[in-house]
This record gives sequence, structure tokens and C-alpha cells, in this order.
Amino acid sequence: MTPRARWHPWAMLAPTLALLVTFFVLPIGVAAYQSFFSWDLLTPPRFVGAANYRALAAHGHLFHIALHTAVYSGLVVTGTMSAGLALALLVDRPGRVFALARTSIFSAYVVSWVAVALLWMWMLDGNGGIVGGALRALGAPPTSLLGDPRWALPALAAVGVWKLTGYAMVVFLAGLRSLPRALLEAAALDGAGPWARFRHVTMPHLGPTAAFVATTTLVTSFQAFDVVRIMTQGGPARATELFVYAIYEQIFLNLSVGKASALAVVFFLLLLALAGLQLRVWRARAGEAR
Amino acid sequence: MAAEVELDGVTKRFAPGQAALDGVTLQVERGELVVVVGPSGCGKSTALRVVAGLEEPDSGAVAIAGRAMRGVPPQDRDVAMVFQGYALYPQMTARQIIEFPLKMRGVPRGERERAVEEAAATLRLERLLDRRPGELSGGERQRVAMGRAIVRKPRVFLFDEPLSNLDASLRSDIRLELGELVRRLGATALYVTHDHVEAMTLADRIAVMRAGRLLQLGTPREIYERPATSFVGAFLGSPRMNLIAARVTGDAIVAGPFRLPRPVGKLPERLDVGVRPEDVHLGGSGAPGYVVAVEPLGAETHVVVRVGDRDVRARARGFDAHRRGDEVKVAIDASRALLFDAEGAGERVS
Ligand SMILES: Nc1ncnc2c1ncn2[C@@H]1O[C@H](COP(=O)(O)OP(=O)(O)OP(=O)(O)O)[C@@H](O)[C@H]1O
Ligand SMILES: [Mg+2]
Repeated sequence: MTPRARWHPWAMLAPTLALLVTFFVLPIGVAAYQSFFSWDLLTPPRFVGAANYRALAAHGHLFHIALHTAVYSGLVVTGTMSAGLALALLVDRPGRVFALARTSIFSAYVVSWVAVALLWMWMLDGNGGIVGGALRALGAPPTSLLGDPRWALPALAAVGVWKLTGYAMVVFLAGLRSLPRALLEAAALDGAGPWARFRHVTMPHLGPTAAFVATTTLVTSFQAFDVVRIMTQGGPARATELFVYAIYEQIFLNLSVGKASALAVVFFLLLLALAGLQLRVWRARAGEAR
Repeated sequence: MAAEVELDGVTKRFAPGQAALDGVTLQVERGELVVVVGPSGCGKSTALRVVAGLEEPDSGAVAIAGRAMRGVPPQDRDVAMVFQGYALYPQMTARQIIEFPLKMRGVPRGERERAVEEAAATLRLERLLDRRPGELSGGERQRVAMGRAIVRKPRVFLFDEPLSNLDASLRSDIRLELGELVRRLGATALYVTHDHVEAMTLADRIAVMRAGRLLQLGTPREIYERPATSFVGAFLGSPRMNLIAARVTGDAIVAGPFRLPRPVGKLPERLDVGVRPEDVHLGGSGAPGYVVAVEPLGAETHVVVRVGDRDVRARARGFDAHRRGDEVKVAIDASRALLFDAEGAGERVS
């Protein structure tokens, strides 16, 4: 199909382009520009070249933020996917009990991050919390998990998994429901037991679903902010300083717009690289499927 | 010799009330191909699934090779099934699909490869082995599904309308190949179809079902010439058998405009006379009527004639000279007419 006038396609794209430019290209551009200035929101900005970047890279600060974010995301994505798939397989049965189970598990996803964070802070509390109390009964020290630099990040990740699992389960359920029953029956007649049927029929069928869940939970977990802000404020000992929280910290706590902008630019480049990688994987898969 | 596949009073209900299978008893001998026919929803697929172990009967028993099958899962019955939609694993190549049953049974690799090559050669699939189902035509997929079934040389084959997705010419080609193949392998087979040509040509015996019940089991010739009920008579044969309401008066049977001699023996009051279209003659003598439809097929022509207030189907050779609206005289071959009870199940009475 060829357009009648050259500007026609642009007219079609204009609304989306306008939104993209206003809320995406422009802010990133502004951030990139400001990352070369030192500005505390009160005195006028001062050009400092790459000093902001250098300061972030010093003492491995940037590396630690990236590492924490990667560990957090890795834990959330793997945890959410395994728990979501396991639950989907478990509750994909007829009957009211299972319908109730499906609804209950999904309901966690509907609750806001702030509420989830507050709820879990209370549950993990070393003194009065259910989970904290249980852990102490098992011999853990009476401090909250969130106060322990080794356990704070995994604990935050567990909260993320708890919230996102319902979502993953629903998507996996949709994937399971679209699996033709005849395929499983054919595999049974071919001599495949339950595990072999899962391995050779169900899993390959769920491939695209899993890729979708992985992509969306990765994006969500990369943007984690509320849980950190409410539950740990980046502590203890900066063990839970994730990217978005670090940006917030630089602006609102350190009043350093330049450093925050530099962080945002690095974060953007990381996401870009990740998106590029994902695109490549998807293209390879699509080529394979053809 | 014991039956290879045996259904004994098998009943299966999915919901209270109507049974999908209602006391079906059927024995398939070793090496025999039994074709199951019947209208949609009569329980044909359910019958196959019960044999395969995909459904457990509510009551009654299934035995394969003399062994009771209650509680035996599908993977432990030596049964292969070709599904209506083929059910090929989309992410595997044809080679992997055909190999899969052997792999699942722990056959060593070398042996597997040999068996796949052999099956592929039988089905002329060699050049397609590295394609996935999405890259195959309907007929090719059908052959891959066959390959998966034959590669492990099962005791029993189950076919659920395997040709229904194919176009007419491909269907008749594959029908011939398939019949030959199953016979060559000497396997026992149950074959479900809607198509009466498939039933007549492939079957050693035909099982006719209706509403979960087995109405008749017999050779194609028995079923065609001596149908147990008027339903069976009308179900097999194309064009359909004429059923003409009749009553017995004195020593004759009066079926509308036609008169037939009364056979000896007791007859019910009201009858249906069954006359195959080839036993209806259009010509110089008989009841007057006029032609309402003509379907020339080349080798023969199907003609529908209105006699009084009923339509009579007739079959004529070649391109018959009749045209719509022509006046004709209709006669039936009384010696070949079948008499059915008009009441109850419509059983044949002579
Ligand atoms: N899983 C099921 N749940 C409920 N009812 C079923 C199920 N499978 C089959 N039935 C019912 O059982 C009856 C027999 O079904 P079956 O599939 O055996 O028919 P069929 O003879 O194979 O029909 P068709 O020629 O249309 O394939 C039908 O009334 C159908 O609705
Ligand atoms: Mg069916």
C-alpha cells in the first residue's frame, strides 16, 4: 500500500509521536543535558563536564547500584516465574475450591505496592510480625530481616515475588488453557508419562508465554521504588539501593540534580541495552518458529 | 481365537441422562479393520477414547489382547491413535514427531533412526522429515500422524476421522494407501468415519451406531443388503435408500402407488418398505410421476421423481436423458425391497 501524499503516514503517527517526544525523548534529553551540570535546585547550575559521572563511578557506587538492581530483578523474575507456573499448574482444575484459589492468589496483584510494602514490613517485623516471629521460632536472631544487610535485598525480592506471582499465574493459566488437549492425549498414547508430557508438550507450548512474563516482570522489577522507599530506604548499609531509588535519593535527599540526571542516563542506556537484547532473542525465536 | 479388542457392555455418561455410550458390546478380531459409522454425536469418538484409555467407562469392560484394561493408563496400552486434527507437536520436526513414541519407550537411538526411515519410506515422507507441522500441507500432516502411529508397530490402531480434513481427491488417494498399509502391517484397527464410501471400501466389518448404541455389526455387504433397521439401511448408501410407508392388505403390501407381493410369515400392521435407488426403474411401466431433480455425476445420474405426494430417489446409468419436469413411469424391484417395522426401532422383518 502506498500513501496518497507523503505527509499522510506522519499525520497518522503524529499523536503517538507527540506523546513519545513529550514524555520520553524530551525528558531524557533534558536529563542528559543536566548530567553535565552541578545544580542543587537553589543556586544556579554550573557546568562541570563529566564530573558527575566520575563521582558516581568512584568507590564502585554505580557498580553497586547496578549489581543490587540486577540481583533484585533476577530474584524477582525467576521467583515470580517459577511460583507463577507452579501455581498455575496446581490450580488449573475444575471446581469451586480452585476458582477461589485462583482469585485469591491473583488478588495480591491488585493491591498497590505501597500497601503491599506496609503489610510486609509489619509481617516481617522481628518482634510482632507473623513471618518474623516464625523465623525467630526457627532460630533466627530477633532482628528484622530488613535490618540485616545480607537478607534485606532477598527479603525485598520476596515481597516483589509475592505481589507479582498472581499476575504470572494468570498469564500462565491463559497459556495452559490454550494448549489443545489432544496434544497431551496424543503424547500419552505415544507413551509419555506426566513428566514427559509436561517436558515435551506443555513447556514448549508455554515458551512464548514465559517470554512475555519474563519481559514484563523484568521491566516492573527494574522500576522497583515503592518497596525500597517504604521498607528500607536503601539501607541497611546501602544494601537495597536500587536504581530508581538511587535517582530519587540524589535529587530529594542530596539535592544533586546533576548526579541524579547522570544516574538516569546510565539507567536509560542499561534499559536500552536490555531491550535490544530482548528484541534479538524474540527475533531469533520468531525465525525459529517459521 | 480370542478377540484382539473387546468391549463388553461399555457405558459412558458425561452428564446424567443421555449416555454417550450405552451398553456397547463389540469384538474386533486380530488383523481386522472395523469401521465405526453413525451420525454426529452418536459416541464414535467416545468409543475410540475408551479403547485408548483416554476415558474410563462408567460400567462394562474393555480388554485388549485378552487383558482387562480397567485402570491401565493410555501410555501402557499398546494402542496408537490418529486424531481428527492430527495433534502433531508444533515445535517438533516431522522426524522428531515420528521418533517420539520410540524415544518415550526407551528405544536406542540407532534403532530409532532406522525405524523412522522405514516409516518415512512407507509413507513417502523422506523429503519432509525436517519440516515442522506448520510447514506441511493437510495431506502431509496426515501422513506424519500415520507415521507416528505405525512406527512402533502397535497392537491396535485407532483412527478418528483421519481423512475428514482433506479434499475429495486427496481423500480417495490416501484412503487406498491407508487400507493397504493397515493390512500390510497386519494390525487390528478401529476406524471412525462419516463417509460411507470410506466405510464400504475400507472395512472388514462395519459397526453402525446411533445415540450411544451399536445397531449392527457386519460385513459391508451384509450391512448394505441386509440392514438390521431402517436407520442402518438409510445411513449407508448414497443416494439414500427410499423408505416408503406401507400397509399389509390381504396378500399384498401397498406402499403408496406401489404393490408388492406379501411374503409368508407374520408381519406387523404398518411397514416401511426400503428400496435402494438402484432398484427403482424409470421407464415405460409403473406409477406415473414427474422428475423434480437431476444430478448428473458422469458415470451415473441421480434422479428424484415425485410420485403422488412422495419423492423417490432413483439411480440411472451415464448421463440419463431425463430432465426436470419430465413425466416418467416409476417401478420398483419388489424382489429386492426390504421390509421394516414402522414402529419402534424399525427392525427389518424380511
Ligand atoms: N468431554 C465431554 N464432556 C461432555 N460431553 C461429552 C464429552 N465428550 C463427548 N461428549 C458427548 O458425548 C456424546 C458423544 O460424543 P462423541 O464425541 O463420541 O460423538 P461422535 O460420534 O464422535 O460425534 P462426531 O461425529 O461429531 O465426532 C455427544 O453427545 C457429546 O456431546
Ligand atoms: Mg467424533
